[in-house]
This record gives sequence, C-alpha cells and structure tokens, in this order.
Amino acid sequence: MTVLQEYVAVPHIAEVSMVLSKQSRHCSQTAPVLTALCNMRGKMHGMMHGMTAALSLTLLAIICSQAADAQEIVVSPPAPASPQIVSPQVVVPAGSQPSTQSRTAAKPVVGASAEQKVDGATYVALDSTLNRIYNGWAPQSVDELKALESQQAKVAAAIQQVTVNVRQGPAQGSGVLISGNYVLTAAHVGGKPKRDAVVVLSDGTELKAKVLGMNRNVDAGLLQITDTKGKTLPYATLGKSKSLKPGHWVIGSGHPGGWQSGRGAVIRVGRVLEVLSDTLITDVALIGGDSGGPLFNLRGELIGIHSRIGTDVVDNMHVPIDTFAHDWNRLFKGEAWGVLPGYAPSIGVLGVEDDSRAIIGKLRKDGAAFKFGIQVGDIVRKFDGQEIQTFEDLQNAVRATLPGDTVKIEVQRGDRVLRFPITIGVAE
Amino acid sequence: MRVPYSFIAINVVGMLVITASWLSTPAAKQRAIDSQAVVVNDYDPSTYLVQEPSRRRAQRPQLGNGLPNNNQRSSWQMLSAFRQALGGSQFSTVEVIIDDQRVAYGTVVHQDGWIISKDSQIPLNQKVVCRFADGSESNAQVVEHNSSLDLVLLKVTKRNLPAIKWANDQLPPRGNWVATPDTGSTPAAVGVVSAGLMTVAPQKVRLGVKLEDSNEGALISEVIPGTGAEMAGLQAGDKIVSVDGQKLANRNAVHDLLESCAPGQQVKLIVLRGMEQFEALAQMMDLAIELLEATEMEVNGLVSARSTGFSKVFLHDTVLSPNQCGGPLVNLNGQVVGINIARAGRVSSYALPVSTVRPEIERMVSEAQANQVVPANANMPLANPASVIEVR
Repeated sequence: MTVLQEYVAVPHIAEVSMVLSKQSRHCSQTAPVLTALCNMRGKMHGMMHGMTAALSLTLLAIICSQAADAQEIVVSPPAPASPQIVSPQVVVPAGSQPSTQSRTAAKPVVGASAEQKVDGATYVALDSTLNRIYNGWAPQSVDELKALESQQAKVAAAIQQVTVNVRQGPAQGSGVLISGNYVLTAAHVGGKPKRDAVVVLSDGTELKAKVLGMNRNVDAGLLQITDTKGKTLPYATLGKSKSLKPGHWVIGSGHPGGWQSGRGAVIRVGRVLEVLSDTLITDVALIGGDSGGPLFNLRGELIGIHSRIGTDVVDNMHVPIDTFAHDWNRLFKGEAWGVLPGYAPSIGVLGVEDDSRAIIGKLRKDGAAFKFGIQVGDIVRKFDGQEIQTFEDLQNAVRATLPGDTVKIEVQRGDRVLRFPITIGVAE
Repeated sequence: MRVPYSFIAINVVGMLVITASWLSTPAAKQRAIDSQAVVVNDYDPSTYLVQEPSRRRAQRPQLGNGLPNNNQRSSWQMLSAFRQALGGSQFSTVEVIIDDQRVAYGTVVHQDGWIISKDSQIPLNQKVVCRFADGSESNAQVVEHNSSLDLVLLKVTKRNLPAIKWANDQLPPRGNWVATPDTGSTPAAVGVVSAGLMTVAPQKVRLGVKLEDSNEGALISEVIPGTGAEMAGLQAGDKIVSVDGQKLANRNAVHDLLESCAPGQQVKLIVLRGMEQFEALAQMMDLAIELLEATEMEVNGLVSARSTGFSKVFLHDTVLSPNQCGGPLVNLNGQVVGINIARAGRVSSYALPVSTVRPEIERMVSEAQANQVVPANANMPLANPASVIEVR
C-alpha cells in the first residue's frame, strides 16, 4: 500500500490521510474518492468495491469557479470551430519534424479519393454495383446484400492490420496507425502530452510510443511510435468526414477489453445516423476499450475515431477525422487544449468575491474538494505540481486535468500547510 | 432526427475506469473467487479500460422511446432485404413458450420433431410449448440437457418438420452478414461477424447485489441494474432472510447458497424491507466481471442469464434479447452458421459454431432416437420417459 500523500501537519489530519491513501497504482482512480467519502460518512463497509468510477463521478461534480454565489459556471473554452474545410493535403511542417524521423513517405494526406494514387493499406476499391449503397442507401435485394458483404469483409480484413491497442499508464483503449508511425486515438485514451505509451499491434507486438497533443473539445489524441523494432508498419488510408451523410455505411474496429491473443481486432458494421460539426453518431456499437479505435467508410478510408456512447445501443459517438487534419499542427507540437464534451473536470469549489487569491469560498457538498477534506478558507498553494497564486491559476490547473485523475493539492489552512491527493470530478 | 438530446446527452458520467476480467491477474481472479466481502465484485483491477462515457441516466430517453430511424443498420428496409436471404430458415425456427411467454427461440434440427434451444432459458419442471412458423403449437418434452454448450434437446410429436440446413463448418469471415430468423417473414435481427473463435471463461453465478452482514440475514447495500436482483424489485436496504425456503442467519450463508445456484435458475427470496416482509422471485446470472458495474449494465441492455462458460463461440454484433437466443444464425444463403447461445454485452452476441455444435447435436439426437426404440420384450413400449408422447 503506497501512501501517496505526504503532509506537513497536525496529527488529526493523519486519519484522513490514511483514508485517502491509494491502495495501489492499479486501483481504479476513483476508488480512493469513494473510500474517503464512505469513511467520512461512517458507512464504509464493502461499499467502494463495486462502485464504478461513473457512479463516483456522478457524486463528484462541480467545477472550479470564482463566482461568489453557488451558481455554477462551467469553465470551458470557446466552442470548437464549426466544420472546417479541410485542405486536401495536411502536411506536417518540415521544420517541426523530429530529426530522427524520416518523413519521405509519411505525410498524412487527408482526402484520398479513388482517382488519386491511394496511400495506405486499408483502401478497397468500390465495385460499381455498390455505388447506390455507398451513397447511403439500404440494400434492397440479396444480391445487393452480398455485394455489400463482400466489400465489408474485405475492408474488415484490411483494417485489422492497422487497429492497435493503446496503453497509457493504467488506462487502455484502441488506436489506428497512420503514415509516419503516428497513431490516432481519443484524447481520453492518450492521457497527457509527453507521456510514454505502449502501442500493441494486431499480432501482439508491443511498441513504445509517446503521447503528442490532444484536442479535448472533440476528444482527439495523437501518439507517435518511437521505436518500431525495425518493422515497417501498415497504415490506414485517410478519408474525409465532411462528406459523410446519414445512412452512409461504416465499419468500426477496436480491441475492446484490450488486445487478446487469437481474437484480434473486433469488427462491427453500422451506418452514420447524424453528422455534427465535431461528432459523428453511428450505430456501430462501442464498448469499453474501443475508445480511440478507427471508423472506416465502405472504401476502407479512415473517417473517424471512437469516442463515447450513450445508453442506447444506437448512440455511439466518434471524432470526425477532419478535426485531426484541422488541428494537425497543434497536435503534432504536443499541445493539449479544450474540455472533453460534457466532461469538464471539476473539484467543486468557488472562490471569494473581490479576492483574486485562490481562497476557497464555498464548497459543493458533492464536490471532490469537499470529499477530500478541503475546507472553506483554505488557500490553495499548489495543484498538480504547479504553483497557484490566483484563483484563475487554480481554474487553469483544474482544467488541465481529466476527471478521474488523482493529483496532489497543497493548501494553507491557518498557519499549517497540508498536502493531499484529490481525485478530479466531472462538472454537472 | 434525434439531435437535441443526443449531444446534451453525451454528458457523461463516465470515461470510466472499468476493470476487465480478462485483464485481471490470476491473483486478482483468485481473490475475486475467494472473496467473502461482497457477492458482486470484489476483485482487484490490475488495469482499467478506458470506457466511453455513458449518458447520464436521468437524461436518457426511456428504452424503446427513440424515433424509428430509416438510416439505422436494422431499419425496416434492411430487414426486408434480408427476407429473401433467410432461405426458409424461419420455418426451421420455433418459439419456445412457457406460460404464454417466449423464453427462447428453438432450432428444428431433425424432421422427426427434434428441436434444440438454450437450456438456461428454460426453467425446470414447467410445461414447454413450441410455436411454429404456421402458428401451430405443440407441447414439447425436455429430453436432454447439455450444460457445457447450454443446449437443451426438445421433442415434439409433430413430424415432417423442415430441419435447418447447415452451412459448412468453416467459420464465417469477419464482416459477413448474419441474420437471426424469427418465425415470421422478416428476421428478428441482423448483424455481422465480429471476431473468430473465442473461449469465454465461466464466471460465478450472481444475484446482482452487494451484501453486508446485518442482525437479520444479509443486508443489500447495492443493487446492480439489469440483474435478476433489480428485475425482482430488490432495493438497497432490503434484507434477505431466506433463500428457497431456507432461513439464513447471516451474509455468508446467503452468499454461499446463492453461489451454488445455476445461471438462469429462479430463486425464491424472503425479503425484509423495514417492517414489511415479502417474497421475491429472482433469476441468477453468471455475468462477466466487466459487466458488474452499474454503468456497464446500463449501457448494455439485457444480457443472457448464462453468458459465460463457453469453450468455443464466435462473436457477432447482432443486438439480441435473451429470449431471442437458442435459434439458428444464418448467412445470406439461409444456411446455419451457428446457434445463438447468448447475448453477452452491448455489442456482443455469441454463437456456437457449426464445427462445435453440429456433431454434438447429431450425437444428442441419435442417442435420444436410440433410447426411443421400443425394447422387443418390453411390456410397456413407452417405458423410457424420453419417449412419452404427449397428445394435445
């Protein structure tokens, strides 16, 4: 049992400290929250074990805001840009490429079409009999079903090669290889920039990778494989998402539950139901571990990355591929920005009016700060390793985390300085 | 268009942190097995999967409330296109009825009235009726249980039934269409093959509650949605004082007795809620460990009571209800590529492949036929219970 928390202070806090300690790094990140919560309320026994992070996060909620009253102000950056016209070729600026990386054959080219020479291993030319179905119609006969089946089985076989499992810390999801040994995934799979990650190929080979940037507004994340172990990696043919329409046939793959020997990537087929500026909704059903996995059109062109789901089986959200093209330079440079859709991090504290210091003015009873023992009047000095001077600093620091992250917070309470971990909640 | 809610809807509970059984270390699994702390899941996650966040419960529309969408994969047009592809397999499909409710589909495997269905869907000692595509009904007799495949062999007196046509024993490739016929003209559901053969390790049988000790029986501290416990109306705070007529003093006694049940079995519970005492009938389920999270169950829909413990199944993405298992799964030529054996999760249905299930079914049928042969010197020609013919 590793006690994450150190602190500099009086004994009675020690009790809280033990409660808050994390059992192991393997423990699901929110378990300590629950432990703490349950203990504080004196009804601990066995309760935490089955509680999911989701449940705990529902309990958490509230955001960091300087408003004087309890009114909630969701801290979120401006809404993501509406659908972008994607330039036909989005090329990584030569100057910013890593020196070790030969990039001759490695330009992510968005918008390959049948007429151009097609780059990538997943493209499957469309049989002319399939034009009607490609354009989003349902097959009307067994012959059309068979033509569609033949096409989707070819695409299924091809996309398995480029669908990877991504592990970052104790979290894992899926991803897809694109040219240049880059891996597209979901922001919430990648974690944080500069971290080390492991990419597991379809044959089980594990490769080292590094997290580059992420746009959390749309849940887009980028990784780069740093050591290919001498392999030449297959990569996906890139498509465009802006031309997608409801009814279009799509094929998804992923490694739900992690990479499994003998099983390989799991294939599902569905149709586009809605095209929003920053989200595709399909009935390609997703489940845990699919996040970050690829979505292809009927020609085997990559058009999206799996992101999140609703409770209905037909509510499955994907990141449109065009957003990666639009953000490529920032992602490549390792920038991380935005807040996951409907998933803003929050610790549930409010500041004090007319006081720019990071003083805790109010606590939400269901907030993370309250649960972890922060009190009204505490002055936050450090958060997740960053010095905090103003309440705005605190807001920014919270914004840079993901709900479920456990970070250290240091507060001044009277003449004592306390340091303890806090698990970030999600804003309602 | 469902625009308004779906984006708000993404508001999320989760990004979860889900532990996966298949990733757990052996030690963790052992711990889960040895655990006395809770009935449901006391396992030590060695890692967690990043799970797509699910919509918050309060914000989601009621199930079945969604407007029909012609663009969905399983739109009416699609199902209509599959009509011709069924190749008559709907006539080899039966509905297995108990108490006027369909509990499963059945598969006619031999023209002399031999029908296969999903064993754990059929309660013991109940009158079983098979309803055919022409609407006729016939009483069925349970002849043999095959617990390793979770199959049951039924016998009806009807003759000259159209038996299924098996596909060859090659596994259908990923991405190929599969249809689950109903007894009507249109398939019950369609999907594609998602993955090849896999082994699904058996899991412990669970009621779907977390239990604590109390002064009387076992106190329920949490009920997992979608489980037998929830369907039986149990709530946190209830106390289970008796199981199947046996009065039980503490948590461990309740836990042990529940664990000894079979998946699909109904248990009779005496429950104490406040001062009130009532009886509840609940189904036991062998849920996969990764489903033992409220959020997971919320996003999954109903899963089969027995959805684990299969040595060879293949995965397809058809959305089946538990009572749509037990019937045939056909390709676009109407040939049977497998028998649907479980709905295991949001996007996972399992089918027993031809290579596994066909030899076993043929063995069961031929053994049962052999038992039916009237012994030459028998005074009572129908001595074997398996050969009793019920006359409607």
